[in-house]
Amino acid sequence: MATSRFSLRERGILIALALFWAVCAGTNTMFRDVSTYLSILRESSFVGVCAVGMTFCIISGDFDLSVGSMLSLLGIACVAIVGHTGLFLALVFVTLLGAGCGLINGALVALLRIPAFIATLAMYFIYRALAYIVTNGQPVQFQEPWFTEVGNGSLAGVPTPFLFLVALAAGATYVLRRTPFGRYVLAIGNSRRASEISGIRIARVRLAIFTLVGAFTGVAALLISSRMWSANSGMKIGYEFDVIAAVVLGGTSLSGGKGSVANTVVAAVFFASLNTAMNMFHVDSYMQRVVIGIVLLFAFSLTGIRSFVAERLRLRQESREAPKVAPGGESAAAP
Amino acid sequence: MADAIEIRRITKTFPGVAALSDVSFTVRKGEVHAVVGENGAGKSTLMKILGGLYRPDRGEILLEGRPAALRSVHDAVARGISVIYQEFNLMPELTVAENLFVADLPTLPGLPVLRRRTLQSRAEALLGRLALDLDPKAFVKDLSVSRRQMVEIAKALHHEASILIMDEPTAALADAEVDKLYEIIRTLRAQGKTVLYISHRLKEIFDVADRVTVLRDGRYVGTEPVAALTPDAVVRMMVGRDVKQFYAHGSGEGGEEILSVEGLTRAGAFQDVRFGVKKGEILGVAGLMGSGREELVKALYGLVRPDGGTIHVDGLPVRIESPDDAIRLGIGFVTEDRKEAGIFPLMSVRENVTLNVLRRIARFGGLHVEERRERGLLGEYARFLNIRYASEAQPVMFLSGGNQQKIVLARALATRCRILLLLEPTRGIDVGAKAEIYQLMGELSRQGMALVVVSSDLPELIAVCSRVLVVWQGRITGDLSGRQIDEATIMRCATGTASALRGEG
Amino acid sequence: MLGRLFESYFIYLVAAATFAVFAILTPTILTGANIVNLLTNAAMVAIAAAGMTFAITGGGFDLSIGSILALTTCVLGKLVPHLGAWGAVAVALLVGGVLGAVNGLIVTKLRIQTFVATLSTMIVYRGFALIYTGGRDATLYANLDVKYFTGGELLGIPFPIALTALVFLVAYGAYRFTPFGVRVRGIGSNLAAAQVSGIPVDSTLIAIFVLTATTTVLSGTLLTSQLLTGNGRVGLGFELEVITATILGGTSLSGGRGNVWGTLVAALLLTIIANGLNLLGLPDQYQRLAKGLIFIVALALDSLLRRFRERRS
Repeated sequence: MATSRFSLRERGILIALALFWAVCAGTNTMFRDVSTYLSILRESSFVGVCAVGMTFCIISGDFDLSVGSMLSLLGIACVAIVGHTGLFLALVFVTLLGAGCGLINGALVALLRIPAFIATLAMYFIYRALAYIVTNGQPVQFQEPWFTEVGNGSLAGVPTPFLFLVALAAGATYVLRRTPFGRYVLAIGNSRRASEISGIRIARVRLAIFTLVGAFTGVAALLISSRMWSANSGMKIGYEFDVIAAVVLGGTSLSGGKGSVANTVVAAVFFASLNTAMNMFHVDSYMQRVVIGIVLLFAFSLTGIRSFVAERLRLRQESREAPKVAPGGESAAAP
Repeated sequence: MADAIEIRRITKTFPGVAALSDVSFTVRKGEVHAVVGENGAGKSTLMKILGGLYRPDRGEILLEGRPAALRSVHDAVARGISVIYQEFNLMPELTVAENLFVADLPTLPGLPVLRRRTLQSRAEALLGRLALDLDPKAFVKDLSVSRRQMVEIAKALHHEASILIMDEPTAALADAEVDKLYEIIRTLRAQGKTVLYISHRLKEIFDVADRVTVLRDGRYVGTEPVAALTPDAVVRMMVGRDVKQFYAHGSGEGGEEILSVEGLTRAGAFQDVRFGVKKGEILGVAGLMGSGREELVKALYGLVRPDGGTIHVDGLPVRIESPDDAIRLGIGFVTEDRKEAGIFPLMSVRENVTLNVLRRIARFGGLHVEERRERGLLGEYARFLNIRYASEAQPVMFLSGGNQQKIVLARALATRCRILLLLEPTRGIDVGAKAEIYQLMGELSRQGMALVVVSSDLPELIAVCSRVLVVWQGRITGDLSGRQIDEATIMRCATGTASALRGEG
Repeated sequence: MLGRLFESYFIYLVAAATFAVFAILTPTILTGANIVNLLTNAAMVAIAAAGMTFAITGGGFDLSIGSILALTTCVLGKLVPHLGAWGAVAVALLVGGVLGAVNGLIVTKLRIQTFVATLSTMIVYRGFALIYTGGRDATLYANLDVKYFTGGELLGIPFPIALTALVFLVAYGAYRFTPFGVRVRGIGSNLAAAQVSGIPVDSTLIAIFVLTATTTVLSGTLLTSQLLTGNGRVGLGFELEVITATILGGTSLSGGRGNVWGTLVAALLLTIIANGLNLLGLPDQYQRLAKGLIFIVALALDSLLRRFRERRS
């Protein structure tokens, strides 16, 4: 909800994170060490950066299944040029390239009206294939050690990738809450027809959203390839699911209409915490997957139950049709 | 002979609201019994109790003299009650026959193999009982609303319902289809079924019902045979006050022409339409469903593209190709289908109202939206329109229908439009809020706004508008003003039996 | 009317046209040996897609099948030496059935949307596969039993082709001629209406997931037979390939309308492309590119056609 009130109901993921950290700190000494938390923040940024962009997409009622494949292509491009252009230009370049890919996705969805699931599914194959063809299946590496500083280093004690995440998240939150464009994103996710009647140029907004997703993916690609010292066409397969999971776990519903960038970031941190915790507790790496899956199921079942309750409330509300709304208090809860 | 239904002292309360209080009345077997009342009167709660969706807090229901515990939809169906809701419960990708028999599809003995021919013949037999004109092999998605309703009725028969409850059955039907429905209802009555008919539309009550029960604010007001009542009397029972103050007839004097249309044509919708609207005028647009009146008005807002013709605003020719264009020209639009096309349900009250004008109230060249300014705007319109809500951050979906409609109106008005187009603005709104909206329309026209109102509610049009256009089969057959505006003339023009254009009659 | 016909058989035309193009470019494609090879490869995607057709018709989809595929190869890889090929397959089918039922229960009892539910189980099941094999390969050294599935014959027809034919005949029969088919279409077309109309929605949904899992196990059997290894990492992206084939074949993403034979033809088309490009000497990735492009072109055309028809009416 685009409200400035801090309502507990909407910050469930934050509470979950706090609880989780508390439990970990209580049972494992490493979780009382600042460096652990810094490392978590770092890890969360790689998915978080893209998830911030994806939040817009899902709020508007779409989603993009091709970000993982886009990532591999963009990572390769980034690594290829970073030696020649330096960091800043590389960042600009990869963001623009990402925006270009996003624009293609957007054109398929908004202009050709192909359902987002299908269009981005197709691009999922295409981008990765392009990445493979361009590199002939070989990983691309870079020689400049300073570049790894971006993904692996810190500024004033804070991991650099996390700084990127915070900056982007802050900007994104501002755009979502305080600009007309952000409102249009929410409006489209609420009701296409009403948006049309309000004079919103729906196709343009959707196009912009996908472009944004691409741009954010570009930044993520830079961070990840910096961290990994290389990029290749097989990198981060399944990334799109990580990103979408973070957005949904953060409380943004797949049916769109409302969401929060901050919650997405918290969810990304939550995942990173989960992974780190499992490593520290020496959970078998394969078992880790099982744990993550079960945690996801648990989280989704909570939101599932919540939306079920909301549905019943709404049904009751509609049947009541009373003209008077009780002043004060959340009459939203009164059926 | 025991009554079909006896409702005894039914009370149902939701937190904060008494939906039904101590309601008692009876429905006789084999009659068509109408239940009327404003929104919030409790009709749909009562219906849901009979349908097994809700359980009453106090009181009981007797069916044929015996107490019935209707604890679920299944129970209700088992006791012979079938409810036909406004949103049909049909599966569009299945055929009519499949929809009817989906719970007990005929199969070969012992094997899960469908016997389609048996299915077909069973469907034909069922449809034949009411002489319904449906092809069992047709897919429901290809059927019109009226035909889909027939499928629902057939479903009820299949469940051997002895009581059929219909919720606003004619809301989406064209007039010819309404007549068909009446026929079906009469046939049902002839077959000894009891029909409970819930509706806002008084005309229909008088056309088809035997007796009518009126509810108001969750309480029972009275039950009378239809023959002993007049529409005025019914409204008085519904509203509890005299009807004459109801319509605030106050439109301003017409000023100069602000909008004019010439030769407007769109294949299949309207043809060669020519009219003008003056400042301060409230122009009504009447016509039967399917006459093209809605498409016509939508064309003024860029939702429908005309093939030919011209539109002039303030004397200058304009092209309106999208709602964006229309808004820029100072034209606003309020739609009838709030749920689907009017509100942004999950967004707050404040966000809903300010959406159209964000660019204007934002700072730094339309980029930064300040909540303070938004709240100022909201406050202005909330006062003007008397919108009631708990908090400006509350999701709009939790507001009542009347308040939601006002929000949609506020959003349109916020654009400072000089021409306001309204499609069925008071549909589905309780009488109290309706009166407010009429007052509002009068006020707006006095302030110089030109209003164009499309409505199926003739009394509403007659009372509120200074001029009425009538559309029939895409052409303007009536341009009525002053004394010419009455139901008979409008209906004659709307059915093509007469034409009353300027300069005639 | 012509438009409707065109719509249903569109994919057949595209498949035939593509095959013709490749036939001209590389006549090798027409040899008997190649055709058999082609059909065997198509079988793997096609069989799983048959199950997925029901899932999508029912209004959902199953993202976990890639993991179930991997798990199948692992189960077979570890158990064939002990139970023989057919015994191991029986166990794999049982495991698949259970996992499918779990998917169904999660969706119906926990009320989680299919997308995120199967997303989660995808992660969990792959975890199972990796745990079971410890992340290593479970190799079957030239086990003749298992080779039968890709090398042997059933009534004179190569087994994979026979199996595909069998599966699709059953699938089509179920879709068209059983109450189950009607119920799946009903649920996919309007879930709320299905719930009040007396359809046993929950058990039908669970059955659908069991179906997708089971057909995937069959596909996995073919894969294991081909690779002679069980590995927890195979099948990445398999679910998306299968969904692609299903949608390309004409099954509507909005539910209620499936096209069983279309799915088969679409799977064939995708394999023809891969095969043809392979014969032309182009590496694997070009095939993916081509698959994606064909998908897009087909959908863009479909979308344009639909809008054209909407404009007219």
